[in-house]
Parts: sequence; structure tokens; C-alpha cells
Amino acid sequence: MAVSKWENVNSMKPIDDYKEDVFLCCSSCLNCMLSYPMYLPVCPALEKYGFVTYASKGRSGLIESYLSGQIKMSEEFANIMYSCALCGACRVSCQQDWSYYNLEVFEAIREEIIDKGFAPPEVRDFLQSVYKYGNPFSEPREKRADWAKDTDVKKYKGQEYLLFVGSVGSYDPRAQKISKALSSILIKAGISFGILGIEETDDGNEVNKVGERGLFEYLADENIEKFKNLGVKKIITLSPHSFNAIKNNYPAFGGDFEVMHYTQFLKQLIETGQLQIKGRLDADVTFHDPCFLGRYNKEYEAPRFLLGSIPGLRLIEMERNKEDSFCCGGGGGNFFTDFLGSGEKGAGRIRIREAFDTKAKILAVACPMCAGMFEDALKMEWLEDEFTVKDIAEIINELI
Amino acid sequence: MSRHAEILKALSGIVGEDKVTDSELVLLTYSYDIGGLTTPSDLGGEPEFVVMPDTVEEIQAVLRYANKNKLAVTPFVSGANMGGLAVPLEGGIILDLHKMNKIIEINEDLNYVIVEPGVTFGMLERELRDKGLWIPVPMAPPAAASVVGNVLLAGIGHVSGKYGNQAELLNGVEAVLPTGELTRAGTCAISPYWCGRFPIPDLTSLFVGWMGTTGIVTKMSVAVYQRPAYQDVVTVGFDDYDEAVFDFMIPWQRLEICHDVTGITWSFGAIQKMHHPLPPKPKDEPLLYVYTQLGGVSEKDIQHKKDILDDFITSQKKKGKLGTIREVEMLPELKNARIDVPNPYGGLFGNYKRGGLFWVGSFTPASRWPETLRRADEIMISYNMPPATRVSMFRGSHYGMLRSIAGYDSGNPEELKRMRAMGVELVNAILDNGGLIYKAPTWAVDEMIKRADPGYLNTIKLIKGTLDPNRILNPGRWGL
Repeated sequence: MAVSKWENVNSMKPIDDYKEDVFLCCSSCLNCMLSYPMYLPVCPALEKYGFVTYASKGRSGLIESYLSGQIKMSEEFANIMYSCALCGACRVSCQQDWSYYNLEVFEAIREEIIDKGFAPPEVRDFLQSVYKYGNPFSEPREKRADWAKDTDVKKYKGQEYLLFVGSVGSYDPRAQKISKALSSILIKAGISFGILGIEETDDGNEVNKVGERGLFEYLADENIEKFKNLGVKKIITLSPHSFNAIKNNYPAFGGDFEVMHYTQFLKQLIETGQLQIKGRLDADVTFHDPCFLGRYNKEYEAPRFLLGSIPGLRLIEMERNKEDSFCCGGGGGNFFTDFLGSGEKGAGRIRIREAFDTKAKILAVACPMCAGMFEDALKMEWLEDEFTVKDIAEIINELI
Repeated sequence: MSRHAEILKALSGIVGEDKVTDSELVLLTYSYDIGGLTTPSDLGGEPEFVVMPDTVEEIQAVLRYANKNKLAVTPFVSGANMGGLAVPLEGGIILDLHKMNKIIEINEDLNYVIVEPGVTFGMLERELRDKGLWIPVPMAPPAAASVVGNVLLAGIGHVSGKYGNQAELLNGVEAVLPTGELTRAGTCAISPYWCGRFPIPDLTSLFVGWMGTTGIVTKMSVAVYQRPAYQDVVTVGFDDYDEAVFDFMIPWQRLEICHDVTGITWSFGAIQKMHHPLPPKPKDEPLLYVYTQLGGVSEKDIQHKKDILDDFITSQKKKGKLGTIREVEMLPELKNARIDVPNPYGGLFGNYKRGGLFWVGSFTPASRWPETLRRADEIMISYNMPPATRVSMFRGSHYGMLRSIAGYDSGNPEELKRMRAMGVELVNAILDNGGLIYKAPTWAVDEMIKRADPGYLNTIKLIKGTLDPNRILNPGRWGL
């Protein structure tokens, strides 16, 4: 057994490697429904669909039944498996051995689903877009750096840092604002950095999480080769999802780079005095921990340090924070495939209500996917006039 | 339209399409549970529909429809009952109540709470702790277990020495009868206060221990108590069951000093250390750990109780008793689990590779514990299983809980058969010693029925026939 529950979470083993491990690996105690010691719901899919089938317990049973030949692969099986955000909150609350490999199994069964030809249309479309265009938005590569057109952001040519923007930060209109804000901060701080621009391709984290490991390997190889050819040594990522893939998966393909999420990098800049926040923000702010920065990579302090460095800002924590954070619903490919939906029981809407209930005026995020999910949720909850979603990069950029 | 399609349409009409399903995959999740010797590969029974009501009116409508159409209905909340009791034996409808999870009232003046069936121990703990109250069930059921379910099945807390089994916390219920009528039991039947069951005819007993065969409880009042400000656990070890029970546990419990007096066999402790298969018993390991849980209003209060315990042990020794007693260190995780409310480590005993959780629980006279423990050891060792058994005193009598637990390879069908065979032997050993099985799976009920008084069985059938003439609620339980 791994020393830490999270040690092997990015291990990418095939489902066959777990065949012996899934028999009643879950004892059906249903602790995967509740966090401890707050005793609040943890599972976005369970909140959305209600039936315990959608909790970690239900998934383990279905996978055991499938592997033991009791049930066959089906569209419904695939839909249930893809309704998980792979957020890992159940892994925190589960007390069984199962919590040491449940996310790996959920990922591996998706590979099996694709191999057997049962990928749902949403997943197929997502993968085809990435395969054809290098991004999940079916946008031409030529538009990848459009967000930077009216900025002073330079193309990477041997600068100290590569800013890896990622597909969401490059194409999604909401996320583009965050890309601009971050690059503006880096320019103001005098950081030597560049972007790949139209040469950048998807990091593959979501491709990997939906189970298309062949395509992920292709993307990883392509990125690694490009980084190496350009002499990249240090990478700053806008997205925690890119951070996860480059930090944890790329080394297995020969890609050993010094990689930081931008919150970690900005924290260093503030600590060394390279970045100073001169303005004030007299506001109550709450913060949402992104799953792929927090639970997957155990970085809870850097974003809080940044918020704590802003004069006037008062951080009000939501009760579900850090390891117990409730997912925005965009993980595990769901930002693109949307099996969790946007209804009243959608994860984004549940979380935005929780954030609003803190009485804060701003929900701070550190992930372009979270920003997109919450921006939508804000509209659906009719909270636009009372509440704002801002990435930490946007907040800081306005104050320096 | 097929009958199945008609039923689906009718149920959808009652609760809404998104709260009813006949999906094969969703049904599968409700076809096995924790501890019932059923697994996703070896199902205990399969429902045809799962319905997730939000309101009492929806439950009434579902039961009226099921009664009219003679459809089996099995209530379910978390399925954490250990006996497979929420796995349907005769198909039909699973009534999944976990979304009915409102805490309706916390009455701090009268020390009770009114909860819906979906309220878990975790949810209730969350609301009680800041008020200095608790529902006294540290450790035993997982945090996700239903309060209502556990009370109705007379579950065990870890402070049963002071408060008794969970059913003793019951003040009253609102319930839907199998024919759809709404009823009340306890003082709430007449008074606006849900504070007790007496002095009126006690109809709560129509629902306690009946395994969901007589009605669906939609609201329940349970007693809550002041949370002890200070707690501690003192552990001693014995090498002799008779000495541990007759010279320590029974006379010590009689003094009514502590919240709980519990014994666990050495291998029970070792299971908590995750050894599987269990290594041979170390020479210095006591045969039985006995721990005393103390609660008090101050550190001084706790120390005073410890002093009384010391005096008690000294007094017993002066009488030539407690020859094998010794101080032992309790595993820190076990100690924490005993004073952590409620247990975050639910189901820990199933923590084996491919690990199933085997479980036989009973209420057995403490005077018969030594003999039953010896028999349980023999039986479990003969099946090459670690002899892991726990005994706990109940309030007000020396009738207490005795249960054996084992982990097993649930991926092996032969192992499942072996566990069932071991279970029958253990059940009979317990029955031979005057015990009764709680949260009993059907095979354990069968053994009890063989020994039951005919008049008792006849009365059960009369009550069931009156309340549930079409035998729709959880059919097959208690031989009904």
C-alpha cells in the first residue's frame, strides 16, 4: 500500500491491473457520501443524480460486477462512469483500502470504455477536437494566441520561464481574461518569460482523465519534445490541470521540468520582493480550492498566501475548504463533456451558493475551468449583481 | 404496455421521473450491502425499481399503489445495517429515503431531536456538538448510517453501559403503514411534545425490531444527552474469560460509574492493526482487553472515577480475584475511535484486500459470555479465521452485546459459502447460550424461529397480517 493516499493517483495503470483489487474493495459503509468531521456532502455526481450508484461505493460495485462478468459494457455504464468529476473528495472521506486506488480505477475503467467502443458522444467529440485541433474547442491552432494579440506577451525564445497557458486559457473567453491578467503581472514584475503561442498544444490532462491514454501519450510526447527543442527548463502553468499533467505524468515520458502553478510562482515573487501589491481591496473574499491544485497536488497555502498579501482583503473560508473542498463540477473532463450538468443540483451551482452564503463579495479561484464553471453558475443563480467570480491573478493584476 | 412499464409510469407519476429508475445498473447498487455476505458479484436480492421520495405524501402514495398492486417495498437509507436487511428478498421497489434528511427539531429543554429517516449520525452530530449535546453513539455505526434505521434495529453504541442499546433512545415516531395511512406512536400521538413513549399504549414497538416489515418511519424522536466535557478510556487485560466477566465486568458495571464496559478478544485488537491473515497470538497479548470508558464534567470527576476503579480492583484482589489482570496500552487509534463522535472509521474491519466483512451480532446474557466466547473462539479457529469477538454491557442489566467479526476474501465464492456455514455455527452457539441475534440476516432468523415460542410467532403473524394484509413491506424477513 502506498504511504500516502495520493502517492499513486497519476499512475495510469490499465484496469486489468486492478482486477484482483476491486472485489468488495469498498465495504459499502457509505462514508464516501460525507466529509469528516463536517459531515457535509462530498460527491458532485451523487448530489446531481441522487442514487447511491453515483457515489464511490456504487461505482466500485459496478466495476466489480463488470470485471467479474456479471454485467456487460453499455452506454449507461459509460455514462455513469463519466459522470464522476474525479475530484477525489470521496478519496478523502473513504477509510478503506479502496481510497488508495479508487480514482485510478475510475480512470482505468474509462480507458476500458473507450477501448470497447462505448465512449459517449460527448467524450468522442471532445477527443476528436483535441486530436484534430490540439484543443477541445475545435478552434484552429492559428487562433490559440489571439488572446495575447493586444498584449506585450512574447513568444518563448529561450526566456527563463515558459508560461504554459493551456487550451482553456487560450480559447475560453472567460479564461482568456485570466491569461491576460497573469501575463500582465509577470510583465510588470519583470519576469523573463514567453508563451508557445500557436505552437502550444493541449497538455492532455483531461484527455488522460477521460481515459484516452494513447492520445495523452501523443500529446505529452509532442509537448515534451517541443519543450526540449526550445530549451525549456522552467514552466509556469495557468491551469492546475496543466500543472498536474506536466508535474506528475510527463516525467514518465521523459519530461522532467521545473514546473509551478502560477500561484506558487507569484508567492515566490512576493516573498523575494519582486512583486509588490500596492493597492488595497477592502472586501470580504472567499476562496475555492481547485481539485487539481489542492487534493491532487497538496497546494493549499500558495493561493491563501497571495490573498493574505492583499491589503484590506479579508479571507472568509467556506466550511468545505482545502482537502474537503467541494468540486466545481468541471474535473475529469466534465468541463467539456458536462455529464454533471448545470441544473439546480449541478456542482457549480451548489458551490456558488455555498460561497455566497459566506457573505463574501468575491469568490476567488485559481483555475480557468473553475472560473468558467462558476461564472455560469453565477448567472443560473441570478447572483451576478451581488457576487463576483475572480481569479486570483485578476485580483492581483488590478492592484499592482 | 407491459406491467413493468405501467408500474414505472405510475411511480414516475407519484415522485417525478428523476426520482424513480428501473436502470439495471442502479438496481445493482441496491442488491448487496455491508456485512450481509452479499457482494456486487454475489447479490443478495434484486429490486425492480428504486424510488427516492422527498415527502411523506409521496411515501403514502407509493405504499397505496404498491399495496393495491401487491408490490414488495423495501425501505433503504444507507444500507449500513450489517445484515443485508435493506436488500430486497422478493424484488419490487426499493424506497430510498436518504434524501429525506431534515432535522426537524432539536429540543434542548426536553433533550430530544426529531429527525427524518435520511438523517445520518454525522449530520446529527454536526448540529448537536455546538449545543453541548450528543446522541451517544461513538464509533459503532459509520457516520453515514441512518439514525432512524439504527434505532429501529436496536443498534449498539459504544456507551451502551450508560444509555443502553439505540432503541432505548426512542421517544416516538410518525410512520406510514403498509396500506398508506399515517400514524403516530409515543407521546406525540396525543401531545405536541415528542418526549417519551409512556404512559399510553406503546405503539413504537410495532416498528422496533421488525426490520421495516410493518411501516415506513417518516419522523422519529430520539433522546439526546449532555455531551461529557471530559472523557477517558482505561484498559486492562485478562488471560481468563471467566475472571474478566464475573470478577471484573459484571461487578464493575454494577457500580454504574462508567459510560461503557467492553471486552474485545486479542485478535479483535489485532484486526484493527490490519493484520490479515492474523499472525499467531503473541505470548504477552492478553486473551481479552477490557476497556472502561469514562465521561465526566471535569478532569477531577474523571480522576475520581479512575480512583474508584483502582479501589475496586484493589478490593477484588484482596478477595483473591483478578489473578491475571494487568494494565495494557490501548492502541491510540482505538482509543481515539472510542471518544470520537461519531466514528469516522466506519467499516474499518473490512479493510482487507478483496475484503468482505463477516458479522454476527447478538444480545446475550453476560453470565453466558465466557462460555460463548470460548465456543466462538473454537468455531472461528476451526475455520482458520481470527477469533475476534466483542462484548459490551447494557444499561440496567447484565445482558449485553456479543458479536464476532471477520474479514474474508469476498472475491472467492467458496469463501462466501464457508462464512455462511461459520455464521450458522456461531448463531447456534449464541442461541445455545441464551443470546438472540440482532440485525439478523435471514439465515440467522431461521435459526431463531426454530427455537421461538409458538405463541410469539403466532402473534407476530397476527400483527403483520393486520398491518400489512398484502405482505408488501420487506417480505421474507422474520419468516413473514
